[in-house]
Amino acid sequence: MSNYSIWVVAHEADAAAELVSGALCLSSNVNAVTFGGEAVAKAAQAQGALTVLSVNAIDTPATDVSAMGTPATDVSAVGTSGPDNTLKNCLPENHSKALAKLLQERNSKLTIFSATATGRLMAGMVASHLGTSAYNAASITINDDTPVITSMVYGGCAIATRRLLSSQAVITVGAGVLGAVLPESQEPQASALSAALPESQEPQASALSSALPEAAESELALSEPQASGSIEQIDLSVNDNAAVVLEVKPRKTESVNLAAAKRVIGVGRGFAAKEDLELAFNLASKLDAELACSRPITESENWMARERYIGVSGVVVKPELYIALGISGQIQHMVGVNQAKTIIAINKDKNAPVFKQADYGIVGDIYEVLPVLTSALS
Amino acid sequence: MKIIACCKAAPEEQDIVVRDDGSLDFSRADYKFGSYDLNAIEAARVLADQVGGEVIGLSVGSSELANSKLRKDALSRGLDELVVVTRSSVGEDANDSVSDLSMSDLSVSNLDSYQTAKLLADALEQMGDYDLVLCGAGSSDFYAQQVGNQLGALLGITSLSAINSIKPDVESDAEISEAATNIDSVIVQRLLEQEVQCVRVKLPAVLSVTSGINVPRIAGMKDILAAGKKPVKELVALGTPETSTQTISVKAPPAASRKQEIIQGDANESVARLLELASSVLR
Repeated sequence: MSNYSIWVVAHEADAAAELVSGALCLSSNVNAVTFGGEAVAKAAQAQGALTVLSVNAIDTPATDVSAMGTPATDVSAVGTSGPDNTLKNCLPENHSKALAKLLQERNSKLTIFSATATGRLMAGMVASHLGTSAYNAASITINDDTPVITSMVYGGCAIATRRLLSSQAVITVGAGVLGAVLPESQEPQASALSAALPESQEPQASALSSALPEAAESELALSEPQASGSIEQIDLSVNDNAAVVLEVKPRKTESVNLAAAKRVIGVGRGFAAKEDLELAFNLASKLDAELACSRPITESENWMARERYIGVSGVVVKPELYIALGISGQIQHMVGVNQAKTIIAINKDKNAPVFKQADYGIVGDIYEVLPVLTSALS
Repeated sequence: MKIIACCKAAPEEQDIVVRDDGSLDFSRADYKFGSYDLNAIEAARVLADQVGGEVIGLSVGSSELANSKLRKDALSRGLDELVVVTRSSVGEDANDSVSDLSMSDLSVSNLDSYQTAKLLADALEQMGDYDLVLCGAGSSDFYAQQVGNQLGALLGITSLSAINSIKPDVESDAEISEAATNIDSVIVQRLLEQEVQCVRVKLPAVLSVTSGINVPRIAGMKDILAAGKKPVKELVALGTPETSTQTISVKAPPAASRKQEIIQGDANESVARLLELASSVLR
């Protein structure tokens, strides 16, 4: 097993656990810097991080704020939401410079952040301080002590495979990328995408480790309890010009789990008005399907919640059945559905690219076809 | 208020052709500014119109930036001026058609996010004072979503991403006209996965906006005509740091094979035929 020095940085317990256990598929030398208190540090330790450095939160809004020259009244709402409210008034991102220095001192060869907005921002800032780029990895292996990653490029039409040359590489990874399982039916070259969408998240049966000669060894290593690493409390200084969080509100998100849906119906520009989406609702309720949409429907029209947007910068789904209604089939959308088992498309333009990527298609007006289809399914 | 909107020209992905071996053919793909960059330009214009000030577009690239149509396109969307930074000098009258760029030219322009951020930081230094730098959610080619984040850190100023709204930090609208060029902080909303943060950001700062922050304007004939008269400044990059990666391959993922049974005709007949063909998945 490689002894390549990896550090993961996490500010949530789930991410800490996933990043540490996943990174252990790449190397036995995995360590963590955690923000957000004991729970996050313990999660990293329990998964087998050798050293866990738990960053003490700056948890007194009054001092914190006066240090930044802001009236204390402005932060009265800070810290009222979320389990780790001590963190809310000072962003973990605000420690990026000190964090980069710490990673340098500890000689981290590869630093891994989660691909959340916070993780990506920290990764980018830390990378700049280390004199390198931050990359988002859809899959990663380590060959001859050099990380090799894949990323989606050109709006999803291609996968770039890159070797990270920096002696202190920085990446972000989405949920399930580390320790992802390669579905048996997939060809190896399809791994870049499938790695981003694991069938299951058992770290043992790893797509990553299958690429490594030490696969068997890594399984052994993981099967033993490893919560023997140490947790150290550390202080990290705050960047100059740190941003001040005034308020944190829970995001009004629609709780929809498109990624888990067996059937998904996507609506696109073919719908002329919001009321007309009822045609799609009716079909969805007949088929017990989740509704989703292309980017213009959420961003330009605001007809549907962003959580329902499928595409390269939205959700990627993998249902048994995907039905595209009035969707032209541009690559940025299709990359989000092309792992569906069956694709049905209805579009009045017979030349729409969606038909080239569909199993079944009806060339026709959704306003005529949908009522017929919905009632035929009764 | 002086606002810089960063933008990157990249091959139009709809026109990139995937060859049978999975390699990409860029010969029909013209360069254009990414759609996410238009959100940054629009946000800059809206803020400048609100508080008074100017919006300067800033782009790092290669010979594609010599294209006057490309320049006018950016200028017609709300910029007052465009600054292009190239790694070698490009003349006004240089090759107007960039569609015949060869792959070797492309690789020259394939800067990673640290290199791009460094060239932008150097350019900003040459350009003098600024109040705010806006970036889009990501470039339309590599979509690493990191240039803004990395740029702020290089400049030693606040860097924030996922910005879904930007407002001048003033008590009342009346104060805006008074403050005019003197706004020293903004209040932004950050759209995170589970929460919305309201953050006070001291200027200057680098903010990367979401693709949902606004709907970029579509340039009208007047804007397009005016764009031709707006200034374009050219800067030559002082020096580029070494690349942090070696690209091994850029290939299309293998396409899933689809049955492509396409039905045409009357709605009733089409639906009947679909139910025959796809009964197993629809029941």
